[in-house]
Amino acid sequence: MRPGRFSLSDLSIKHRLPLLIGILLLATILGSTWASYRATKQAAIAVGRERLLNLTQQLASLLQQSASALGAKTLTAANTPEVRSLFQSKSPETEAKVKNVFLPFNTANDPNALQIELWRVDGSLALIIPESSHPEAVDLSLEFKQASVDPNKSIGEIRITEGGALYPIVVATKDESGKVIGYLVRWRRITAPDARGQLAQLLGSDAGLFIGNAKGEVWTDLVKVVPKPSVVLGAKMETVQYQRDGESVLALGRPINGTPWFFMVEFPDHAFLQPARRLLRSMVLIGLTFLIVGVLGAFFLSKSITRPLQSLTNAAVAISGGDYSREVDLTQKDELGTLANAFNTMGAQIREDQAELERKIRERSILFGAAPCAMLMIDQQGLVSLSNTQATTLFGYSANELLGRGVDELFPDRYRNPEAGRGSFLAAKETLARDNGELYALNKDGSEVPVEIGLNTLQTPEGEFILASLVDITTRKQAAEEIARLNEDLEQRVVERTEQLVAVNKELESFSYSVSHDLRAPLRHLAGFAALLHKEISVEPDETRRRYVRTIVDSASRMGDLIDGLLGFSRLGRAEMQKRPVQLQRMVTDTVDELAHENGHKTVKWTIGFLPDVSADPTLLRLVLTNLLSNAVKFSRDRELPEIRIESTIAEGEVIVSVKDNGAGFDMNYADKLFGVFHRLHRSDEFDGTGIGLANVRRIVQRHGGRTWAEGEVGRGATFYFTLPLSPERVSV
Amino acid sequence: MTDFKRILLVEDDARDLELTLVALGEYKLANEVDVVRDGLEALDYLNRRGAYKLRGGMNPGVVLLDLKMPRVDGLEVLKFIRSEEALKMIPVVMLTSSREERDIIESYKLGVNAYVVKPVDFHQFLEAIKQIGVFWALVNEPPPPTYVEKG
Repeated sequence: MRPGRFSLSDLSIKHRLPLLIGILLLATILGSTWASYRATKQAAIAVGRERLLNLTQQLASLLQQSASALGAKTLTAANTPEVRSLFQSKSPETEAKVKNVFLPFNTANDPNALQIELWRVDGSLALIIPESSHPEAVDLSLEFKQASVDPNKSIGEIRITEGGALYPIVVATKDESGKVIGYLVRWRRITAPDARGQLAQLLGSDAGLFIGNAKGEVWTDLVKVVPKPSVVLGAKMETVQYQRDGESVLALGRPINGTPWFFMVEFPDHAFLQPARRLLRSMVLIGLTFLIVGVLGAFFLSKSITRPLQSLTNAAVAISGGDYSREVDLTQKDELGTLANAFNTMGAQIREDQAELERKIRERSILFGAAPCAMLMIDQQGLVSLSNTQATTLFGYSANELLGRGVDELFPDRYRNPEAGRGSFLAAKETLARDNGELYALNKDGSEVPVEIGLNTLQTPEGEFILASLVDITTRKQAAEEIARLNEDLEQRVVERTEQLVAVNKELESFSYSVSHDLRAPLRHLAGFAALLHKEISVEPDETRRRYVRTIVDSASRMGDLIDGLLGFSRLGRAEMQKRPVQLQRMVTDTVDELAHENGHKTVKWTIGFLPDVSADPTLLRLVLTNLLSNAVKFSRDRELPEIRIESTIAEGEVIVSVKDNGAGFDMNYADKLFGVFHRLHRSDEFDGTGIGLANVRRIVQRHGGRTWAEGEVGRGATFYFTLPLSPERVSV
Repeated sequence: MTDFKRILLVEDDARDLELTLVALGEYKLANEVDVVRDGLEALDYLNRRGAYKLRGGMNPGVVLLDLKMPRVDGLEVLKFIRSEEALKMIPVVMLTSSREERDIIESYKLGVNAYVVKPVDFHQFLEAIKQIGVFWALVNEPPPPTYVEKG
């Protein structure tokens, strides 16, 4: 809405309707009033014109009769013998006689009469009555000429003299032969003080009568001389309208036959427009009444229509002001009722939505507030725009103090980027992103708190924000430091322990060395000298002595074997392992072939199942297989049909190899002792051996990261198991 | 078997010495054996020092060297022999009780010609000594006694 320029839409609907209806009514009333006034006025004018016509016609004939009567009387008087004789021989007697003749024309008898002149043909005055008067100094030659020609045209033109408007009645006096001997001129006043009053009675008070020469130069209203009317008055019987003295008048003029005169009747317009005026007045009154009634009606109608609109508007204004509980109370069933219903539904929807929104905001706020870490929302200027309780705890500022604080102030100076301006968005981002998410926060009291920081960019309608979440990692840091310290300790201890172990190992090695070297020497001597002794006594007949010495020799030899086995076992624990992929299948087959060759005297039924590739030291693995397979052969050699079965199953990245025989078996109660050094479950005269084989097997398998165990039953055979990791290079299924 | 080379037997243990000599005697090799009782004596013998200052004749055809001895052990003697220009070509055989890998490797690194572990069993012992004696004293051709490497 531009000020200063009115528009209908600036008005409320309540005012607009009455205004429009008022304007419409006014236009209608004005139009109809004007039209009927115009029609009435024209009718009135027509009536006036008709009246004028009739009136003027009556007047014309009246005046004509009067004029011709005057003329006729005068002509008769002029042609009396007395007058003829006067003209023929003037004498006092004749004069007296003439005066008698003229008595009816006296001023006494004719109030308008002025003087009577008798003119001879030669232009000399024969007589003037009354004698005291003077003849009018007027050229009457034209009237004389006309009078001599046409005795009926006796009325002359109106003259204006000092005495007022005059006119002559001129007749010719003729002798018996018809010869003109003189002229009689009667002067009469056309303006009589009461003439107008008399006329008014005839015409009505408003009318005006004007008489003038037909030539038009002289006009009188019968009282005084008046100026010529502004209209041209012709012989045509037409009414004309013009202004006289500022008043509109209607006029009609007519010539008076038998005279050189012209008369005119004027009516002021108001005279006959009076009824039209009255009609107009009453119509205006009625119109005004209509207008007032109409506008008032429209106002109330409009009000009744706009009241619900108003309540709707009020409700809408209230809602726009945030009062969503406002309801529109309208029970009507029309469009407005529907609108109100829709409005209330909308209000209810908005209330629900708002409640939902508020609930969500509350949730978010709770979430933000209850987050276990400190959270800051930082705007593009690097200022804090939102913080939670944990943030206030971390930084030591209140929420209000945090609000609008530059993020630079919340971190030690050393993190500040000197290139980026203070408070800039980039500064905040870089300050916080320093050190890969771990930095120190600066508390209000100047203390520094180690924190871990996570940064997230938030795109909102208000622009880009950075959401920073900070976790106080003091405890974690202390724990990490403690762990680091403990680790250091542990490493130190491992080093120490390793050194100790190395030392112990060295001792063990030197022990083994001693055993190997120092124990064997006396044994060798024992064996050597016993052998020499045995040789010395070989000639003796005593078998017992020889057996004793032989036993000494055998025992020494056996002890040598034991020592060798023990040394071998010790070496297995220290020997360097070189693991590589081994084709177990092939190695088992080779070992079996070798054993079959060695123990060729006995047929063993070998069954070899599928064996996968494994990762192992081939030399050591070969030792394991040789031990287990030869054991199986050894303990099943008493069977009628020895059977040995080698199989494997794969489980969880390792292969389980089993060697099963149908030999002597063992008591499961002693299963644990099987793999011990020098542990034997059989007497050496039953089955030979040093008791070191299975110990070696266990040690080798353990060094490969595997396990060993055995199942068996006395007399029903035994099964030995060991596991190995599958070859990572070539894992066959 | 007429052209015997001298055998230098370095052995600190009297019993071992006796058994070894018995074994060598079995094969008629005992008379060609010079015996020293430890590493130091062996060095004296080889360098013709001390008690062996007046030792004549050539270097031995083979040295049978015990590993573990008081004062100077077998490996030191071996090292010395291999470092001496006049001795370095003498064949040396380790005759020891040790089956230790470490000893074996060290011996070969120092340039031993053979490494023999004395078997506990006397018959095996006899056999071993016999083979060593026969091979080194009879079969093997030692380096020429007069040869001295130039430079």
